[in-house]
Amino acid sequence: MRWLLDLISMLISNTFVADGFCCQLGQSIKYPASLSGASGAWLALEIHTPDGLKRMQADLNSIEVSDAVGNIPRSLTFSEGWVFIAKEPAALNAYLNMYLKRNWADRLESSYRWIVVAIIGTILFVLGGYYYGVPALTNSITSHLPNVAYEQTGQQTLRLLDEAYFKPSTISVKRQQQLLERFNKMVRDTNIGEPAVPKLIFREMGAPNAMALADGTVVVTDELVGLLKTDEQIDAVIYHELGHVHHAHVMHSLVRSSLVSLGLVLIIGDSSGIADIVSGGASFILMMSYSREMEKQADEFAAKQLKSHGGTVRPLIEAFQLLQNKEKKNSPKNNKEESSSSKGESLTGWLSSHPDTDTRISHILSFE
Amino acid sequence: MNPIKFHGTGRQFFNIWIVNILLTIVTLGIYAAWAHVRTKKYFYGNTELAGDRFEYLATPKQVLIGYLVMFVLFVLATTPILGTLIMLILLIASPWLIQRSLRFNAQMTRFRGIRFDFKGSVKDAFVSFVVRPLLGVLILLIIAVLLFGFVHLLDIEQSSYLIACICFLILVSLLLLLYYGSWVSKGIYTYVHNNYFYGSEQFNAQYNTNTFFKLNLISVLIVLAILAVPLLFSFGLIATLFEMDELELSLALTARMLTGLTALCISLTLTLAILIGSAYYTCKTRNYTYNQTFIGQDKKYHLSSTMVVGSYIILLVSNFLMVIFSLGLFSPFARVRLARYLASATQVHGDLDELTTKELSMNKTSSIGDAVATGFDFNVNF
Repeated sequence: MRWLLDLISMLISNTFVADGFCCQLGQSIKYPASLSGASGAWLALEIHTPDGLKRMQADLNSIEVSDAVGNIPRSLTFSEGWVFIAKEPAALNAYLNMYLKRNWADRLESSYRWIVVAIIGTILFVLGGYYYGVPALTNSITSHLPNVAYEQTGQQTLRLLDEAYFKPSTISVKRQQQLLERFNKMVRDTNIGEPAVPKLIFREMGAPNAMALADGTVVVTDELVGLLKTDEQIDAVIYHELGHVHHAHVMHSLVRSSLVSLGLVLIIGDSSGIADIVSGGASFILMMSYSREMEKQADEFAAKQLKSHGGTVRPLIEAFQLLQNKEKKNSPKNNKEESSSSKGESLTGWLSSHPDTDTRISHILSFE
Repeated sequence: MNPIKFHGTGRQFFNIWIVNILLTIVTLGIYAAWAHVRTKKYFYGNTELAGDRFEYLATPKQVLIGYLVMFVLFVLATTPILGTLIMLILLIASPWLIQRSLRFNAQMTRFRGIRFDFKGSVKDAFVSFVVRPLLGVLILLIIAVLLFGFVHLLDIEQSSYLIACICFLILVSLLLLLYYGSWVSKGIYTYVHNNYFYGSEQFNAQYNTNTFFKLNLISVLIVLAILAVPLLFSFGLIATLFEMDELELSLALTARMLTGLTALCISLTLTLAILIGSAYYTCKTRNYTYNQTFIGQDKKYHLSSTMVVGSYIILLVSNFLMVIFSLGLFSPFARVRLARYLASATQVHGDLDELTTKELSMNKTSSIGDAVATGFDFNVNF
């Protein structure tokens, strides 16, 4: 607090005196020195060199003053490269702030109002980036991806699923042929084409399920075909999957998740390597909200198609109810595990990632 | 002995940091150059040695040129053919970039009116950053060929003997590789730390490969020792689960969840192991390389570093938690804490008031070349 007293007495007497050191640029020897001034008009420097006292005086505005950044001591460079540094930097800094035009960055940094604005602005920017920037960027990236990228990703996923979860289908060739014909008609009706070319394949995996891959492949499990009562219900589920294909949801979520984790690394990164691992988990949680939106879009697509080609959205709702009943029959404990271990819509059950089946049904009914 | 002190505070740097971010957003990234300079000025200006502060002298304009060049290269690099070409050119130019970056950072640092300088040659940078590491690829190839030949020579019927032999050979070649890596590190540290100048006083540091090897080896052993415990545990668990596999589906599902849990355990332990191992290496290497560094004729001045592995790990982990739970908002506090710790673990021995030196004429900094190097900012800074 001494510097504050100094400053006050200095203001009263209208003069300024500061002790410190001087050195000449390019030479490391330090000499004791003192600085004096009045009303910010001029500054006089006295340097105690071994050859005697060296005096110099300059207009405050003609002295080179180092930038103010936080509380770092500011240095004054006089003629002949003599640099003055005060013993009590705070007093000199306060004096300079009073009489020199302050750097605007420094002004912003020391204004509480601007700090609050900066915090809010930054948070808004991050949120805006998450809700608008990421989706927009995702759209532009996915639309520029070559078809090969869709094919490769789809095939790669299928290979992995075949190794880890799938078994070959046991549905008879005749039945498969039947469903394929219906599928081809549906694809013709919906006009889905490049970059994703819809294909239908059957697999066994131990649970009723259906999923869409990046290249347009729709996988339907034997258990699903067995569970659903009518071909229209199967169509309804497939329409939902075609909705994912139509909106290129798989590619979108791939690109989006890379963007989200990149953003997270930018925000929390740099302090240590642990950040990478945690950002993976955080980006997964953030992705869940995008995935709910995608389910809604696929439902809407399916509802519209069903309405225009079959006249009713009933089969989709029936399919939902059958799947829901099936899940309820499994023990509640089991159910919980499934929903926590499934990634988005896929591996363990067609409904597991969407607990709000009733909301979905009422939304679909609005298309009736 | 002159301890280095850091006077910055998290609160103050927070203000600088948040304003930097806002202005960088508002100016679409252009302010990043100013932000870089202000951040550096804050950290240098708050670092005190024997009563005097360091100064950072680069101007935003110099840094901006570097950033712009880097941005243009980055945009061009996304195109398929040009991208490979640019990567190739950057790879070939890397010794030059590294040397320029070291020189730029040194010349932009001033203490008591005298700027630092870096006088290492591009040729030496090429040797220590490119030639020596590339030799490793050659050595790897030779080892692989030798191993292959050796296996063919042996009688395949004595399979247990053969496996033991192969294990032994793999172990030996891993150790050889580790030793080789230490040799490369030694070369890099020698190049960097022997070419700094403070005025006319040259930095001088003698390193030997064995010490680097010892530090590397201990770090690897630490990682392995930490990994061994849960690995053994989870192998046991998975083995028991395999026996239960015949039971009904719900049990199998629980089993799957449990293996998921052990997978999580393993990845957490792996993180922990790597964290501790690399913290050990960072601390010990810094201590060793600083303690070997002398400045000036007759080794008048001597650097020393006293980092402690335990407190460094606590610092890293607490910083990390602070940043995560504040969603990044506390990262300026974390950076100040790290700077304060590193400063408190650094000393310069010798009477600095007796140091009389003059700034030698420096190689004129060609601003574009240096700025480009700054854009890439190779953090080999001492």
